[in-house]
Amino acid sequence: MNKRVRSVLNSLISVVLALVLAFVVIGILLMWRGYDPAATFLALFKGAFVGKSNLSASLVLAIPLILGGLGIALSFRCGIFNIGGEGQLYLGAFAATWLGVNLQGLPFFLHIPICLLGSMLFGGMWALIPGWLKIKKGYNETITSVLLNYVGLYFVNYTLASFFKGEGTLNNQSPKIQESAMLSRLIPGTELSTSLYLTIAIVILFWFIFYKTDIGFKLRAVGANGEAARTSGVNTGKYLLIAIITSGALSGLAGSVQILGYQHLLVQNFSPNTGYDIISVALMGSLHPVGVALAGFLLGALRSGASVMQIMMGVPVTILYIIQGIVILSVLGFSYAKIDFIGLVSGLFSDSKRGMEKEAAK
Amino acid sequence: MKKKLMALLLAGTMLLGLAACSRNTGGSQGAAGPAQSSAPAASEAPAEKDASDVKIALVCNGAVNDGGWNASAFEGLNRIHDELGVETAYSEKVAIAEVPNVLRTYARQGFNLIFGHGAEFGEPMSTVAPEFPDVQFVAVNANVSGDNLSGTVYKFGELGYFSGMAAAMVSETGKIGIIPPDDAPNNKADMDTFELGAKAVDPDIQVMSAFTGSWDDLPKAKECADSLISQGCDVLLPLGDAYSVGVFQACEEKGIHSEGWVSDQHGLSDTVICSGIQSNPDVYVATAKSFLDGTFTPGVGVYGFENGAQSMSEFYGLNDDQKAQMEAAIQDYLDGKLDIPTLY
Repeated sequence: MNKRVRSVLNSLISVVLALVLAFVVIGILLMWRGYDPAATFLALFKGAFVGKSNLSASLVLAIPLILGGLGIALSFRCGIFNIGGEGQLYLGAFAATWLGVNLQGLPFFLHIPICLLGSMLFGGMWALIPGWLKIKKGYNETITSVLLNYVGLYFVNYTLASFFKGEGTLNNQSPKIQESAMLSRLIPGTELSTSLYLTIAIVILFWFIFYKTDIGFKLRAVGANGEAARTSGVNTGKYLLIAIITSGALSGLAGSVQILGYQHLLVQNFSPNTGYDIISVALMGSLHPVGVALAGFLLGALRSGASVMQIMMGVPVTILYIIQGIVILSVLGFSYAKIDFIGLVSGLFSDSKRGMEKEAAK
Repeated sequence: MKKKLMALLLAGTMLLGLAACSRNTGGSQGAAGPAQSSAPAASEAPAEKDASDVKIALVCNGAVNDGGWNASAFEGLNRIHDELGVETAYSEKVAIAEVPNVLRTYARQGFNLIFGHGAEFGEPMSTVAPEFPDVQFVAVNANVSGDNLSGTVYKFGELGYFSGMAAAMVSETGKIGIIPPDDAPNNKADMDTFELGAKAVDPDIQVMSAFTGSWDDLPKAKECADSLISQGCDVLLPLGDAYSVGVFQACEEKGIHSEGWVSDQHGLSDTVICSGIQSNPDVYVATAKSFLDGTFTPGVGVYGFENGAQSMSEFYGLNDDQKAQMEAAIQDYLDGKLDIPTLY
């Protein structure tokens, strides 16, 4: 068997086993709290996958997680730890909303790309700060980027309470964006927008650039061994900067697709914790674009299923957070253990085969 | 050998998937069965809805066990469930940004009447309502209306006035304080009349305010209360929610008076001299009843002293003269002799 196929199969098996383990643990928890685990899981499954509207709700939640997760995966693979997704996401959403509200009279084929690019620019610039500090001055980028999260988040919340607050609204929220900046819906009656195509295109593009081009090779080389890359003539600083700016731009995009796709206006704390969730998504997806896409979809489905489950079963919201935590932890734990399941199983089979051959020889 | 193994694994996974699908449809039929059997026979008007066909949901911003604002909604929902025999469900602690999706989830799960408990639901509901024309949305305390969107509002300002009067009667320092979460129009109305009511009793009284910025930040509320007390206030009215408890604690520590809000909170603290009551459960049950019997019309309903949805609790901390004065003022108001500037 091909080595690559084998490792893919191994990681698939580990995800399945991780989910089984997670659901056993959650089942015990639910039984202890007096809920019927089978009915609860059924509600979760139905809420995540069954029916057009539930499935698209899962995808809607998955899209920002996948986009942001790709960015985090890129920065981690390159050896620069961007934890600032939250701030970059909020600033990206802010830029997209501001452009969406204030640019008037543009046709949609100009307006939407301008908003998306604006969000990428803001997210990227916000990531440039920790990136530049790291490369030029040696500051630890995890600390600076986490701290900038608070600055970004509260700056955006402040704008929504002051100059960017919609007229006559009670809640702290922006005005609605122009029609021409709204992404069109894929399925009527759901929130799924054309951002799904954008996400698929970006996953493919990411994979292509990262694995099939010169730049991608150098990015990977810098991450694998920065010193070796530098001595062989790669400008490591430049590639680290490219990685963190792209990472920030993708986080910004994760913010703007939510606004342009279905929220259509910016509310304070519009996307709580997404900037941190994308880190779990990137790690769950083993920092590989396809893995990130699958992990993002899994987490999105879990979220969407969980909200239906809460409604149908009356499970308290805190138990939902515990469930999500257990699933993430379990998947991460299994994927980092790197167990060679195929090897284990085929080892068993070949032993017995050899035994049988011996029997036959006798 | 290995290829066969893979094929087996794949087949197994697919079978599992199929099994899950078939079980799923079985489950949903099973769930629908018992609900239908409990259906009472419907007759009367054609517009009347069968209680078993109706599912009612409640979405709250805070916790439903907060002993105040959200607890009153939960009580209303439970009364709907018990008195009208309707299937109900609720979501608590839903952040404003998540409200639209929670509303959509309820609408898609077949809920017909969805309550949002608070003025902050008005805007998300007016976004979501047009997407689900068959679902009725009701934002409690919001001034919104649409084809399938209604608001219920209290006459904000009434309770503030009488709370202010009582506070001024009890105050010895001539300084009283009010602790609202923010200066949203509904809170502002009660803040203004709180001062008016107090000045009607004692024209020299000083009214101070401190905002918590949150509906359930208990430590912050306590800090606000402490700072008002250090300014000399000796009666405090928290215009809030779960955080009232923080204010009561501060009042207990300093041995001063407080007032309750929304429900009779004398049970939470002995410092409470009286409470302004908004009877949310009555609003909920009335709305659900009219929805079931087909008389419900979308629009804004105003609830106040005149229809009993707002009232003052017993006056625990007042002497008989003061009680009589309070009751006379309330009677004057009901008779139209006393004018209170209310929001609606």
